[in-house]
Amino acid sequence: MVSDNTLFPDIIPAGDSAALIRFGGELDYDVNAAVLEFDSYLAGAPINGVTEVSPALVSLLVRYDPLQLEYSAIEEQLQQILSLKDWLGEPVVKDPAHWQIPVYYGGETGTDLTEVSQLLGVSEATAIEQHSQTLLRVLTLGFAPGCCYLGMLPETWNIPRLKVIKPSVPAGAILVAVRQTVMPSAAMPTGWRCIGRTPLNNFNPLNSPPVMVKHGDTVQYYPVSAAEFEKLQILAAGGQSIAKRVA
Amino acid sequence: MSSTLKVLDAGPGVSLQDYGRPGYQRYGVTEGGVMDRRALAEVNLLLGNAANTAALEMIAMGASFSVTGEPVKMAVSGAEMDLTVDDRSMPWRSSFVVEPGQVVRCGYARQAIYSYLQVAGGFTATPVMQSFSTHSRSGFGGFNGCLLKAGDELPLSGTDNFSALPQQLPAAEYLSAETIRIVWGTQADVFSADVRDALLQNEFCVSAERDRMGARLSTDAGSMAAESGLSGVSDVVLIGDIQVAGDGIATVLLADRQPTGGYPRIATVITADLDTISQMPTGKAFRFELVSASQAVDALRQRQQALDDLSSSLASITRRPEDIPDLLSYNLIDGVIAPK
Repeated sequence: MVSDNTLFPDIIPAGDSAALIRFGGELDYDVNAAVLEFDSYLAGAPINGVTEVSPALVSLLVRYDPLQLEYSAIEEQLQQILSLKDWLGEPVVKDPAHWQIPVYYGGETGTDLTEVSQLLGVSEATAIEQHSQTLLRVLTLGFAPGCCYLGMLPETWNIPRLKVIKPSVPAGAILVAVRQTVMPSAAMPTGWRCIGRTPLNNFNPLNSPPVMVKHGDTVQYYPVSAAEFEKLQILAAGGQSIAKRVA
Repeated sequence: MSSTLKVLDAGPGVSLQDYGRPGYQRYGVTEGGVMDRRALAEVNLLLGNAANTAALEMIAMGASFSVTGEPVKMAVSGAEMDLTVDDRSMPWRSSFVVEPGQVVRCGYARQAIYSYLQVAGGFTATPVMQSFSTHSRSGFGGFNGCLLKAGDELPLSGTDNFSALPQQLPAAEYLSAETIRIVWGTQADVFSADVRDALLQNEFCVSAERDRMGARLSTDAGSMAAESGLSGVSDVVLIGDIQVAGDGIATVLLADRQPTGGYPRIATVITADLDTISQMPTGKAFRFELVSASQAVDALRQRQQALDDLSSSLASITRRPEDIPDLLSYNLIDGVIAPK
């Protein structure tokens, strides 16, 4: 894996009908910001023949109809947009929201909280404080519908993924590894450690768009008790939004 | 009176599918859709439906159905199954009329894996994120996000067109191909030259570990593992990507693939060969052939041309009246003189 971020950005063909733009080989806050900003730019100035733009952590996939557009033409247009400015700045995502999201840390879902605090060398209370006091950005959505990847947690949270995959964590599990938090909207298997659970379900296929918390939004978690979690879970099941939109 | 299609018996994995939901990958929603796009075009052509009208996809084991209400014109395509209406054998890749009370039975798939049954006018369902495709793992699309089971009654849109006689399409060559064309993947450089050679020099087959998400391959080539990159930062996965996990086994990612992935991908099956690899019979030997990007696009153009030309290969099924024991029960012109 190329990890020298000075070789980027680059554009390479992906399959026979997509171009992959990579802003870096390793996840870095600025590299992700460039992805989000470039995505936002393309949303405002769509390229003819492009069928879908999908941002990921450090790259964007631009799909096009190869019967309508040649790769060299799409590459040229993307190269032109890249040369407009230095994209490694703060993202100018249109209409980013700031959310406050409740988390019940530990408990029957957050079974790895003890181990995570040991890896951090702090008490569980301090681990909760660090996780909930860091302002996180939604770096990308992926793996499963509505599943958010947020970062970056402090350097000390650069903890590895598990060697053995957990067969299932529930919807709303708060997962951590490699300075990131993953927040799935449905039960799924994972190789990340689980430190808590939120009653928020970020995905509703009947809404447009189907997610509430999206790319570029900022998130601050706040701890709630088991009793509050249960109360909020009932409200969420009744269709109430339990994430507070602050700005 | 509107008609319904009743599921009398269903093998695993019978679901409603159209061309899927492109455009939602950014929300973590996979594109999904039919495993065999050409077969969906065929059943819709046979019935005069719009090309993207959602049909029932059956996996290998088949299903049986009956009709309530009015007679219904149906069509089947994809992997060939033994098709009977009551006890009468019917040709595959054809359209036919089913009367209320008759039983349509699709047996085991013979030459491939995925088969399609469509009705004239299509099924009545609610689109989710602009598609009727069922994504059963996430529980949305199709009929309440579910796979079909015995007892389900599916409402039909009911725009029967009985003016056209039953029709048939010739056998499809794409289901018997033994070469799958690829281009190198975006991470091909993390695989050694030996492993890349091995992909091109050896025979592969699709193993029994296959589903709508992907097909694990088996080969005598040994481990296909990458030299590095196992902890790579995940990016967007393409349909047809050939991914190699830590165990060194290659998997072709298909319609219901996860939208993003972190395992290195050595190559990507070209768009023109996606139906063929999705339909590849379990255990059948095939080889990968490396092509250039322009060859891949030429192949796609040819495939598109073949789809556009399909309507000229439609042939009316003509049978001698004495071979049709229940001729008098057919009502071929009712829809013309008395539109419902």
